[in-house]
Amino acid sequence: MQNTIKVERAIKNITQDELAKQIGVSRQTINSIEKGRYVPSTILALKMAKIFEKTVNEIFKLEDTD
Amino acid sequence: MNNTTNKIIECERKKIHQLFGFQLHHKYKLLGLIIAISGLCCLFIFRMSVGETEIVREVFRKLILIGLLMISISKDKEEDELTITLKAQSYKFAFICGVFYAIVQPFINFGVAFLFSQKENNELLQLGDFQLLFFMLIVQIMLYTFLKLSR
Repeated sequence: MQNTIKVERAIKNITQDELAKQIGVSRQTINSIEKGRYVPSTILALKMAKIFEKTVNEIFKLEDTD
Repeated sequence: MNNTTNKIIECERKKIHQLFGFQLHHKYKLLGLIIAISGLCCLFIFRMSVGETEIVREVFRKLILIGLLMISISKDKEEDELTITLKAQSYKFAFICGVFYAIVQPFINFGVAFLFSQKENNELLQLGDFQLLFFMLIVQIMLYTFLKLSR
């Protein structure tokens, strides 16, 4: 699964640590999600979408292999 | 099913979920480490100095297991869904390793005993509960630590 969290963070000008604090996870978890190593839960995806003021589909995209 | 039955089922489900989510506070990790290391040290000291009795050995073995269990089920400083997932993966792997260990280890012991003593030694075929639980807990803790560091 692809995601645009890094881009969205850059647009909002927030660090991984700030985003992590806002949604109540560790910075390492944000890093893992950004790198595509971990697929977040629906709740976490919705929390991110709310912060970035976008829909979940705009942030997370399925790949052919998914 | 009537309404009362549904309520009972829902109540039971909540209780089970609470039980599944049970974890000790983060401070118990350090306490568990102290207990486990103390148990290990005491076991060696008793063996080296006064000579251990069966009851002393059992007490220290139980202490080691309690310490390791406390490390295993205590929360991290930063607990989130990724750490919970990693913990679940490490438990799964430790369980599988434990089963393989229980299957293979007696044969390895037997083979080693056969090679060195050139005779069958049936006592070595027995795998104790301490040995198995210690192995599983150590695998779980080490794997979880590795996964957490490489997340």
